[in-house]
Amino acid sequence: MFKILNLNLKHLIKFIPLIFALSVLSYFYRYFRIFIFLIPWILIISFIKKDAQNKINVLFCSLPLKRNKIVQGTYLSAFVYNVISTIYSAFIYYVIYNNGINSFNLTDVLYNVFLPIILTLALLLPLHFKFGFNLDIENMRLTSIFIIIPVSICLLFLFIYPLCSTEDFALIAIIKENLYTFNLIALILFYLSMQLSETLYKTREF
Amino acid sequence: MENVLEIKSLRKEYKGFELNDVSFQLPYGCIMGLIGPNGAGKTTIIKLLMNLIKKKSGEIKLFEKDNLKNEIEVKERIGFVYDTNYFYENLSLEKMKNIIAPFYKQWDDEQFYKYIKMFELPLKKKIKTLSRGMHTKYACAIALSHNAELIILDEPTSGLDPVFRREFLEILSEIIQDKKKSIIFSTHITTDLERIADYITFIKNGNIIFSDTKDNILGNWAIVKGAKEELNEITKTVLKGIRNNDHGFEGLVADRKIAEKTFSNKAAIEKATLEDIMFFIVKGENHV
Repeated sequence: MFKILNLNLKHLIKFIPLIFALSVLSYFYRYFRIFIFLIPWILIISFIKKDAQNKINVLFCSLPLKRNKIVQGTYLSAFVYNVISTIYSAFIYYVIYNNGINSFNLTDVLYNVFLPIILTLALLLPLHFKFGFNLDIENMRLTSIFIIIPVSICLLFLFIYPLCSTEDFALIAIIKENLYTFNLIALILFYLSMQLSETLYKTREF
Repeated sequence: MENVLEIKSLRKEYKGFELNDVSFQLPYGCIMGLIGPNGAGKTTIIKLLMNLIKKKSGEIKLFEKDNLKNEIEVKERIGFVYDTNYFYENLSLEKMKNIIAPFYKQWDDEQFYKYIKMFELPLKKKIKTLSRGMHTKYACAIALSHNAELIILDEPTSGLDPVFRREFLEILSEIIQDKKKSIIFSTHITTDLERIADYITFIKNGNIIFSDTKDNILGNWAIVKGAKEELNEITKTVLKGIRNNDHGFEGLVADRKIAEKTFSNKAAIEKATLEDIMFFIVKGENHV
């Protein structure tokens, strides 16, 4: 399980120059500030895509490794990715916004980064373990699921929220008021999703 | 003799394909070749051995242990080469090795670099730049570097040039010299088997046609050539596959002695090659 985590964390190193460049840009140019919240999505999508484009699952399933450990390792990696993304966003957010005019707000980071990503992962990973995530033309329908779900959640949390005031959008108000409870629910869903993925992956044929 | 691999009544169903009661075994220290036409079930058997697909029923024992109950232990002792790319294409050969190595307790870096040198592989190049043959060589280097006792290869020679193919077969023969390692490999190229295999298992449409030692097969199976008049209901029952030509007929027999009795001196009985056997079994029946 930790070997899979280790492997996935190494994958993260590739993105450091990109993240650094976007962070610097977002500090100086306000239009780039959206990347504070988009970078975590880039990382997560690349994380899932990496395993799916290759037939790497065939390799993993042939190694002396139990299938449930592969699933657990992937979920753990995804969670660690998310935590790293949240810390990163919080840090950049703090550097940019904590300037006297606006103030740093952990709620915003949890709302905009941690919660939507953990929910997306809980939805995506069982599909990933059942079908794989392939960007081939033949699998366009499947690909669209993988793209539409994260993009929709991303839009909902990232773009609609700032446009609506809390009075107009009751759901967002409720989520924001009970943010920690919703994060906890999301984590429970994430755990249940892992259980589901373990069952799906156990019977998957290559 | 104890068996490194034992398969009993193995069944697997797909849409339009069925693996039927497959049973065979391979003793320690031997090389087994799986032959058969495309879609015969060779890859299916290999995937079942590696638990990449689920069997419907039957039993697979590797190293005298159930392959599912002792999955980790068994896989630790297996080296595998498949005919598709299953590595991260954007990584270099060395980086990919660094990913795989920690999963094996007995990984031997020295051995790996020895094979890399022997196969003349570029360690720093990305896997996607490798040709089919080089890819197979790399997969072999990985498979041979963790002291595996059973090497499973799916079509390993199909992308290799004739020179390296021969070299590769020699390497396989060398591997089993100490009688501790065994090899099972599927192939279309029957001459490869004639060169190195100890056991041959022939599969057609998911059924085992035969699984025996190479010597028995080449000693017993024979080609009968004779005039068309010799073909009658009795002689036809002996022949597994018949081809008619202008001069007469050619047919395959599973037992040379029975053929000698049936045809006495009226037909020529010649030694059959594996290619003859494969050809007559696959195509022969259609030409009767």
